[in-house]
Amino acid sequence: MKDDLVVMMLSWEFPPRVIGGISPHVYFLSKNLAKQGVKVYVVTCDFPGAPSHEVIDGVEVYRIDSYKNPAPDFATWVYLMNLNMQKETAALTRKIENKIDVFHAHDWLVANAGIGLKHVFRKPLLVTMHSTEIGRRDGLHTSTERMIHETEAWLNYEAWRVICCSEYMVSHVKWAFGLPNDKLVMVPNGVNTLCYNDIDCDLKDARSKFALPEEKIVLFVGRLVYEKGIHVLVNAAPKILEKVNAKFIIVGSGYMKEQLLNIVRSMRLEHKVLFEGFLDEQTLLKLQKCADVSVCPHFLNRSESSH
Amino acid sequence: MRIIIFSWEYPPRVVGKLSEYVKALSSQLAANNVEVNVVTYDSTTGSSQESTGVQIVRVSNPVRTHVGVLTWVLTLNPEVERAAANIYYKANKQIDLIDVYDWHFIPAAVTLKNALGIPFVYSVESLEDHRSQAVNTPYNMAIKSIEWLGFYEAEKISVKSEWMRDEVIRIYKVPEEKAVVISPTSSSWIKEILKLYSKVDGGLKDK
Repeated sequence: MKDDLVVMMLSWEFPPRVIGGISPHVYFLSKNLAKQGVKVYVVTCDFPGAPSHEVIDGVEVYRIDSYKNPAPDFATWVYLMNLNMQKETAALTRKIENKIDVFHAHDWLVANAGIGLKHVFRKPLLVTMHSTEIGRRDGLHTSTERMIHETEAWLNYEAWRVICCSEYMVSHVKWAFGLPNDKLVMVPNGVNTLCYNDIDCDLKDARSKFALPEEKIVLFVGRLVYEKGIHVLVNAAPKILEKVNAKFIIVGSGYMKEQLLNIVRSMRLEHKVLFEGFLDEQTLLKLQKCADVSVCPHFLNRSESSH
Repeated sequence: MRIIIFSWEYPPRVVGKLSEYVKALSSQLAANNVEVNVVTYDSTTGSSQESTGVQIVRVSNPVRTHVGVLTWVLTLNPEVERAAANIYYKANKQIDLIDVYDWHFIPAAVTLKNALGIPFVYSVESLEDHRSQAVNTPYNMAIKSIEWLGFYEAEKISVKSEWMRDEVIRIYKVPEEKAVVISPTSSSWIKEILKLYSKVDGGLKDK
């Protein structure tokens, strides 16, 4: 690898701002690129208490004021946030005398900013497609959904290469936007096993907080939204319980929470299916280590270890 | 002098009176030895050259479905940036300034200024505050915030009347010396525009 490679990463979320899987993905990607000698800049949205500029594990992180403009709805907010992100990234790139090799955008949430920067600086644009609107909504039903889909198509058109994290997403993106094979690259997400090494002292203790000793632990970690397929797991719970004495631990939050709780109540399985919301990292690592099975019923990117 | 004019309307696309005004302005500038490039929106007409030598680049929106004027404008801007960047690189990076009409292409002008150091003039036809009087929905406030960004980032502001100058200063708290009145009906119209341009040209290089 060329050791003076410089990457300008655009992402709408980066820790401590965590909305979905893009945040940890970009964090670990940037950190490990930096470890390989790549100079990485991340431009991302602000978060209460997080500084507008800091260096994290060798990565230069810049946080922009993402609520500068009032917005009537989410999609318009995204485009207005892109206006500010593009402006700040333009100024930063100029400050470092255009010494960057590639702009790397994650999902449509930073499409406008990335596309404009590509043309203004004449640098290649790389895109990682974590998911698609047509996949998230299982079709396109409203003007907003169609608009987001067309923005994604435009981003994929402008990208020099499109990265997906699974073979399934490669074929899905190819279908959704009509991309040629040689434009798509499959790079699976890495799994960091090192962080589990230090966790073994009080596993029994940790386990007892969630399940009885005779219960197997079935773990789901993810946002409680349609495309994550959590409703499939919850609906399968009675059938599974016919064969195995298990405890279902659901970690994460999302708009489907109430709906899922109602399903669980109607099945009278409140004592078997637990909704834990967000957990701190240590508790989550322990839980992942003592779980008997970890389930990822995601409709789209089945190999993504997304949160 | 080589400039780029941003306007969301230019003949044959006529939405209001801005279209004909920009055409008259660009041909007058061309007659005064200014190399003029106009970047505008038109989804059916391609790019062209006027008999006056003025280059017209027409871009269309890559996103066809929209939920409002705001989303339409904000997805059109990267195309305006692409067109302007193409002019810039073709001209060996020698663009003296951008003259932007109203709020639509302010985002592109702001990015080009911050990325490539091209200063811009914000020329005011109308203001959101007057178009949607006393309507303060997030939609109107968002447009107003883009105007505000334009007034803040512009090297100079050009208005057509003393009244408009007062309004710009009153509503957007613009420093008085930044806003210049140039009346299109005045006999010295083009002379004054050229004078304003020469003040802005190199404005960023001095800093």
